[in-house]
Amino acid sequence: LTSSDDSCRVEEVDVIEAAWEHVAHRDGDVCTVSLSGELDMSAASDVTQALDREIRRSGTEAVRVDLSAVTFLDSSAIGVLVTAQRSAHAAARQFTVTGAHGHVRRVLDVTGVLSVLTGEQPPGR
Amino acid sequence: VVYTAGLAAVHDMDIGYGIDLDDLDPQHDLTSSGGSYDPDRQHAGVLLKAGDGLAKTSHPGGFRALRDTAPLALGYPRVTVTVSSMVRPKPAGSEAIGMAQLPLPVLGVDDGPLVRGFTVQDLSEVRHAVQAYAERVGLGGESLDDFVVAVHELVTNAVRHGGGSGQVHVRSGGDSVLCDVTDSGPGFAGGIPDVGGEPPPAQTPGGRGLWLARLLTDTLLITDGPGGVTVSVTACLPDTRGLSLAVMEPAVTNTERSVSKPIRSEGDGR
Repeated sequence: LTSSDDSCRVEEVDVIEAAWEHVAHRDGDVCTVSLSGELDMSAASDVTQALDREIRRSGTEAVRVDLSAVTFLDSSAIGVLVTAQRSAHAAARQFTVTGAHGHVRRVLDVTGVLSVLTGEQPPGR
Repeated sequence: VVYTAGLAAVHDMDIGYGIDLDDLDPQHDLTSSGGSYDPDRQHAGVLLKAGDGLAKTSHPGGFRALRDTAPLALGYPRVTVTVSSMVRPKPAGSEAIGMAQLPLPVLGVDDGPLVRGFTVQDLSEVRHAVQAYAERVGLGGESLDDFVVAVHELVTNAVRHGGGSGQVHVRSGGDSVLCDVTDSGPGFAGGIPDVGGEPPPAQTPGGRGLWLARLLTDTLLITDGPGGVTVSVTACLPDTRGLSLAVMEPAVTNTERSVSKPIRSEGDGR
């Protein structure tokens, strides 16, 4: 094994804290959760909790997740949304995703989850 | 040019001119050309190259799957298949034939490669560094976003399944930008996964990372080596030589075929 090019130059890295935010807006029995920023693996468990909280809140009939201000989304975040939609349906709540645009929309689209998450297509088996 | 920094058995096989992959019997053509390719064995990567040296697609599941899912050789005058075999487990006393540590193609790069280690805390930082680098060497628009997401997925995989840390190595290879993401984890317990087919069902929470990385890049090569897994992805840079792909259309045509992934032949208007 020659490793001529593997002189691992690890640079000093500043940890970026909480590159995302969420705001929940409740209007009657509809709750809109607006997410913003970059949703990756490090945000996954907190976003899951935030969505779960709204799904389980008594009096909520529908949860809408607004992705208008999300600038990055990865497969971990897709997993979060898919799981949250399943929990919502299990709890007899509506759950839809809105506002996905640009590359966020592309990622949701190519992975085949966009139409299910937006409610345009009913969840499969 | 073979894009792997990992230890892999690599064999280049010239399989013909103006070839239509549908007409190709992989067993016959590949073995008769002197290669070591076994269509029934899972190989780490199969890289399909056109005559201009640009890698167009690859498939870790093997040539059959590649032929079924990526009819991208159509339109190119010369096709080479590169087979990169898994080297783990490495049999004791195995022959050295075909084993190669390939030099990394770093052609005409002014500012050198981006090499950076990472752990779970560095996901965002690494992502932005990769984005800045890829943009600097000429990637833009959707291609840039695609590449950044792909590399990020590989980094996330390394953190999650590859021992919690790893290293990215990004460089420009003249006509493409390349990135190796290396971890020191246990590798794939069930063999190299097949990421060339349909996406996981919409109801499945996970399993999209590698699949997404494959979809969003021009090539993806998985090397499951003794020290860990290296996944290498490439994205072709916009053609700055003014050479249209139409020039390379073969004289003999049989082109009523849908190409699953259009080749980008134009720049992004930049």
